[in-house]
Amino acid sequence: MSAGPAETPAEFERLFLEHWPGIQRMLARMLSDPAEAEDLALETFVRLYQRPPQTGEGLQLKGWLYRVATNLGLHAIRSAQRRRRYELEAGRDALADPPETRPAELLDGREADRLARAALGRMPPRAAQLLGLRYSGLSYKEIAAALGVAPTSVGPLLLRAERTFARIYRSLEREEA
Amino acid sequence: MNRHLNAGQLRAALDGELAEPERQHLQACPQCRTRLERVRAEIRPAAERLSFLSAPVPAADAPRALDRFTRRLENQKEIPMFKKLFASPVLRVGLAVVVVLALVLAIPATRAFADEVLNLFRVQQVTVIPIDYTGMQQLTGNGPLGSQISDLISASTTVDQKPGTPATATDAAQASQLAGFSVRLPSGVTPSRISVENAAAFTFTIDRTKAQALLDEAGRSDLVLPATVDGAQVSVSIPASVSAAYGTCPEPGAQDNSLDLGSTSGRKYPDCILMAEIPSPTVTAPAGVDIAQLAQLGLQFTGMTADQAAAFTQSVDWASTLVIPIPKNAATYQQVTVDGVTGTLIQRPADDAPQYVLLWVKDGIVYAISSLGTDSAAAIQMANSLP
Repeated sequence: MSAGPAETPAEFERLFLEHWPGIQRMLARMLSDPAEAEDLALETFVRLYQRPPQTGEGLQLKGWLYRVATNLGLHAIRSAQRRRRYELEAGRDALADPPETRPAELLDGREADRLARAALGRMPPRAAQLLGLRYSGLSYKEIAAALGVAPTSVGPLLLRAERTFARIYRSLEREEA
Repeated sequence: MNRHLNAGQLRAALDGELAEPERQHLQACPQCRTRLERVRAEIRPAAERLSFLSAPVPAADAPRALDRFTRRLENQKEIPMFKKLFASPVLRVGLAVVVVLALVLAIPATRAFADEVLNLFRVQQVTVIPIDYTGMQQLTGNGPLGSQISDLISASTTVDQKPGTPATATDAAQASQLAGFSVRLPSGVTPSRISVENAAAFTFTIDRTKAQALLDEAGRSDLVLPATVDGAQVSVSIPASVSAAYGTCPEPGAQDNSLDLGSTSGRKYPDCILMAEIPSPTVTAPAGVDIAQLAQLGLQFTGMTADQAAAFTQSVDWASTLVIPIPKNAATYQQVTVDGVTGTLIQRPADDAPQYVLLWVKDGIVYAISSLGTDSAAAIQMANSLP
C-alpha cells in the first residue's frame, strides 16, 4: 500500500474493524440478499486495501468507504433489475421455477421494498446514492464528504432526490398494476 | 437572519441539520413553519418507502469478516496476473464467452474443448442463459461445418503452459499443498479419489476472415464480426484445480468435472458425485475487443432476436460473470443458497439421463458439484458441510 489512510497492516485492521459494521449493515439493508451484501462489503475493503484513496482518516475516509459501498450496492440493484426484466421478457416462466426457488424478496411479500429498490435502481446514480447515504443514517457532513459537495447543498439535493424517487416509484406501481 | 428559508433548507430542518441562524428564523417565523409541514408531508411517502434502508439488521461480526477479508486477499494473491490486470489498460474481460461457448456446446465434435472452456473463467458470479438450440440444428451433427469450426478453434489456439498429468492427493491438506490454495472438502464423507490438475495457460488468436466465413456458411451473414477482433489475442490462465470424487466415478482423464449436460454416460455411474474447486481463472483480451458486442452476436447466432440479445448482454458484467448457456427446453436452473452465498443449480429433468450441477463462487474460488443422478439435495448438503 502506498500513502493512504492505513500505512501498516495493523492500521488497516483497525480501520476495517471500525468501519465494517456500518458498511456491512448499510449494504445488508440496501440489498435483499445478505450474502451478496457481505460480499460487496468485503469488496469495498478490498478496494480500500488495493487502491487506497489519498485522503486522511476520519470524515474523508468514511465518506470514501460509503461512496464505494453505495456504488457497489446500487450497481447490484441495477444488475438484478436488468436480469429480472430480461428473464420476464425471455419468458423464464417457461422453465417453471417452483415458487420456493424464487429469490427471497419475491416470496416474503415485501413488494413495496422490492419496488423501492427498483426505483432506486432507475434513478440518476448520484441521487440514488444520496438517498442511500441519508436513509442509512449518515449526517449531512458525512454525506457532503462522500459526495464532494458542500454540506449546505445536501438539503436541496436530498429534497430533489426524494421527489424523483417518489415519481419513479409511482410510475413503477402503475407499470406493475 | 430575516430571509425566509428555501425548500432545501426546510428539508434540512426536518433532519435537524439547520445552521443556527436559520434555526432561529424558523422558530420565530410562522410562515416558514407552515411550509415546513408542507415539505414534511411531501417527503413522507418517499421516507416511508425508503425506511427499509434504516431497518434493524443483525449485528455484524467484524472479526469474522476480517478473516474472510484476509482469505479473499490471499486467494487473489495466488493469481499473480490478477493485480497486474487490474492495473493495466488491458481489459480483464472474458473471452468472447458466449460466442465460443454457444459454438462449442452445440457441436459434439468440439465437446472436449467445451469441457476445457467451461473450466476457465475468472469468475465472481454465475449466470445462466436458456438458449433455444433448435435454431442450430444444422450444426449439431458431425457435419462438415461442425468440423470446420472445430478445426478453426484448434488451429487458433496455442498452449502456453501444459497442465501435465494430474496428481493424486490423500486429503484436503495435501491437495491444498499441491494446488497452492486452501482446498475445502465436505465433512462426514470420504472421497474415493482426490486429484489435482496443474495450472495451464493458452492463447487464442481470432482469425476474423475465417470466423466470418463460417458464419456466412452457417447462413448467418447478417451477423458481422467487428474488424477490431481480427488478430486479437485472448489469453487464458487457469490456476491449478482440485476435484474430489464420491461414489463410483469415471477414471480421471475422462471429463471428470465436466458440466456436460448432454452426455448419457450417467447410466454407468449413478451414484457418482464430483466436486471441483478452482481459484478464479483469468482471461485477457486487447482493449479494442468489445466483449459485450461479441457476446451479443453470439447470442443472436443461437437464435435470439437482436433486442433480446442486447437486453441480456447489458445485464451482465462481462468482466466477472461466467455465463452458462443451457438448452432452453432440456434443462432448468434456479438460485439456491449454499455455503453462505447464492449459487446456481442447473438440472436436466429426470428422463433417462438426469444430471445436475451446482455452482457457486466464494472468496474468489469457483466450486462445482455435479452428478449424473437426480438427488441435488445431496449436493446442497455437501456444499453446506464445507468447513
